[in-house]
Amino acid sequence: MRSHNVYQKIKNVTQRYIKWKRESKEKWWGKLCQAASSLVMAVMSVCFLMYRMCREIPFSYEVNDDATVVQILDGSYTGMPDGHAVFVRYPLSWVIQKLYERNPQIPFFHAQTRDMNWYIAVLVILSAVALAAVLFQMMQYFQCNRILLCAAFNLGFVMIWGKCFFNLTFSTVAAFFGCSALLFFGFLRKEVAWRPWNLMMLGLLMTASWCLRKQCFYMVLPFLAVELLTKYHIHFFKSVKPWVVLSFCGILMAGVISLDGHMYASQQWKQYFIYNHARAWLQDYKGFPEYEEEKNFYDSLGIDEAKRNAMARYTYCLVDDFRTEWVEKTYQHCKEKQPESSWKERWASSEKTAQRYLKKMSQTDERLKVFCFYFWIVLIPLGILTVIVRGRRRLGELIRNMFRVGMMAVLVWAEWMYLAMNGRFPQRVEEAIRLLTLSVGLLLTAKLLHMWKDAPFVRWHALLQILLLAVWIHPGVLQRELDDIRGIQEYNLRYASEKSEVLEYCGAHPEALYILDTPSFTKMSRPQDNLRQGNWFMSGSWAAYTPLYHEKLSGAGTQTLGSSFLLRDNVYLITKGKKNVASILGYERREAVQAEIVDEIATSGNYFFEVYKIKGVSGKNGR
Amino acid sequence: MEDKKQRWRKRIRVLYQLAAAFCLFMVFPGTWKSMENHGLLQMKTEQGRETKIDPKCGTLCTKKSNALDGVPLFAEAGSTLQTGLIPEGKCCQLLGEVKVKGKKWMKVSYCGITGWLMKKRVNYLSQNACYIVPGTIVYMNSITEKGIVGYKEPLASSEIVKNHILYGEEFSIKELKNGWGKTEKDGRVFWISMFHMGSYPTKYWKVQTLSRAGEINLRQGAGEHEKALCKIPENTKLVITQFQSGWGKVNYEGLEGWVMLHYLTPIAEETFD
Repeated sequence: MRSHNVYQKIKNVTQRYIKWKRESKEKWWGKLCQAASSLVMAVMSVCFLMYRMCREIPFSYEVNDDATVVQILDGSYTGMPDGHAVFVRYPLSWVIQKLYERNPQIPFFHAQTRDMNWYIAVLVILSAVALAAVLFQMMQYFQCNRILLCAAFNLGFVMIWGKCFFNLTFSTVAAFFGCSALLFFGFLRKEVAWRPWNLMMLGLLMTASWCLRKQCFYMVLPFLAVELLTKYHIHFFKSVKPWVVLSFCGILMAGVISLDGHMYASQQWKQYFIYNHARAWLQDYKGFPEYEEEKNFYDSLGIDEAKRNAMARYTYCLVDDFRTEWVEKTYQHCKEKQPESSWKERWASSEKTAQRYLKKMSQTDERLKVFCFYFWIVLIPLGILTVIVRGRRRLGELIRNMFRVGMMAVLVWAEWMYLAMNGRFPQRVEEAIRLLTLSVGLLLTAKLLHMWKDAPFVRWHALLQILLLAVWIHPGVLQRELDDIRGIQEYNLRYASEKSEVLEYCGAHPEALYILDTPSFTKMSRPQDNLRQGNWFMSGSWAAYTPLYHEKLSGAGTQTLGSSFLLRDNVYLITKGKKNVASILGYERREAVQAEIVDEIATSGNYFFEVYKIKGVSGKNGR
Repeated sequence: MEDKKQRWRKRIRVLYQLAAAFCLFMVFPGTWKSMENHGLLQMKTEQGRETKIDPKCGTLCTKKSNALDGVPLFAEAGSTLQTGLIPEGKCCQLLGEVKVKGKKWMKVSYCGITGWLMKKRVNYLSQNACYIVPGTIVYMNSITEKGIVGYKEPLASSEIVKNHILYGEEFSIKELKNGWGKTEKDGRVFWISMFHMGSYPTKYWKVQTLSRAGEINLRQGAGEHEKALCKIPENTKLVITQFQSGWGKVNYEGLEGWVMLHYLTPIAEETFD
């Protein structure tokens, strides 16, 4: 009898609590508590994941561009931290420059993380903010099964994007921020989209994306516009909210673009960008035309075959009479020679390339490729089922979602075609467009699933979610993924160590100056090496002929890296293995350059780097 | 009567909800399965892995790349954890073959290093055992000014026994261990890194410089100081009639001379036209 009374009391209390909880969900403090708990879950889970990953897995730069960016930002290129990092724009570069000025080393992470620097730290922090923001909005959007959502989102990030995250380039990070901005905005309800804190977050992600690679920012813009349109389709001319969103984004981007434009406003920088645009197009995409094909053109500029080869293989800084206008004029000549074709013809010819890259080619991880298809294919059966079961009740939402799917599918295909028209898909470009395809597919799938939100079977009890999670996580799925990524990174970094060993040699001889033959080094770099500029120059890189480059040369007491510099007693050339030094310097005849191997560097990767002293160049002699 | 109708409606509603729930939850794995069936999915689950190792024998030759930075070996087929590195353009022993995630992996052994590599990194050379074993004559194959070093133990940090081992110097290998070979010369016993060693596995070779020059010199004698007779272009297939100190004697377009084996790669007899 007594136990029955106790049982009754517990049952009554529980029923009153459940009733109170159901009613409080509709009250403002109920909503606030739920939002706060979602925020805590999102932030804690993402922070834990990031901390764990960064402790176990080293970062690498997929290409050397990021290493050069860090050299400029940390001050080792010119002696002072400088925000003119070219590929990383203001204001992001200004923030990183200030961090380096304040403290060259990271004071608090260093012991815990795998040799990070400020550049990586800022990108990791921004990525964590982006992930937490998207996860929080996703939980607010669905308002159910938050534990499973949290786990699936974090695991999905590791499994699909983890490898790209650690083998980073500024392009892929920019794509990540752009896609995060799209998902963040996509999951916002229209009533709250215009609120200041949401606009600030959207602005932060879009600015970060623009600063790292504006092409990745532009590729996300059309989708943001579609999302804005579908959110405010009725209210566009009846409410201030959509105009607040548009105005905020417009003013922010105008401010950012003006600031960046102002920092690169000098004539020298403008000249450099004209040259660099031409150089990038010729070296990274089209290729310098062969000498035999354009002999007359090259001869008219005074470029012989050896000089053309030196431009093509990144040793043009060592060519005596090299001028940036050679590159600009070659670019103009190639553009003029390209056959005029209409948009229709170019579109038709690019279709096969786009299809081939979409379906068959895979320079990226297989999972990224698979999942970028998966969500789009799932839309078909999910859409049909949603129309049949939920269509009648939520017709308005269904029509808006169908419009979204149609518009975004067209936009995604259009972007693949646009990239195919450029003729080349470097790995980072493929990663960026696949991430965008996956993000858009995920957003659309989530929109359709949202229409099932009020179905009784969809909401699972927290205990059941925890149980499912335990069953899922117990086999060690996450650890296996992290081990996989660590293995790949260690393999990537093994080949990047040679550069740091060569630079160690340079550092051990501070009285000398060294020129490194650019093609002799792998394209990857290791953040942990800190490749600090000191007494060495690259024979060719995108940083050459910037105002910073001229400043660096002045510091070494020279205007050029040509023969007048090479013939100095303390200047040496380093190449991987024996090379034809005359062709590196842009001379046709081997005898034009007298070079002697004075030392050899044996690196841990079983390679041999030769240290050459140039003793004479075509009539000129060293002292 | 009305109550009965209400109850039936309620039951139908519940059945309808259950059917909808079932369909909804089946959409996702169903789509995945459909992608697998249509070959859109290259990945397989752990259960789908074909783990049966097909034992094989013979000799493979690792392919050369522009960077000449070695071919990685992995602990398991399909793994990403690298356990070693073997040189490019060299012969290794084939031990087995397996298919993982749709890609073929080969188990190989090179001078005491065993591991897995992807089939696309090697060419099949011969059914016979042409790889390096104790008793094989090897030569220093890397081009270096200072030469490589012979150590007392198979460790780069141990005492140096012999310096200045330059291109072409020949040794007879007595023992192999973890990518090192034990040899004896001038009364001294030492270990050398087999990463820098080449052998004479076959008489069929192909010119493969992977450099811009795209051709090599045919010289009068076996030495870089010998007079160059003519140029042999890239991808030319040659029959070596005699080997000496990292050089091979060939007959090219009526001229008899010597070529540096560093710029050549051994090929299978079947591919020799």
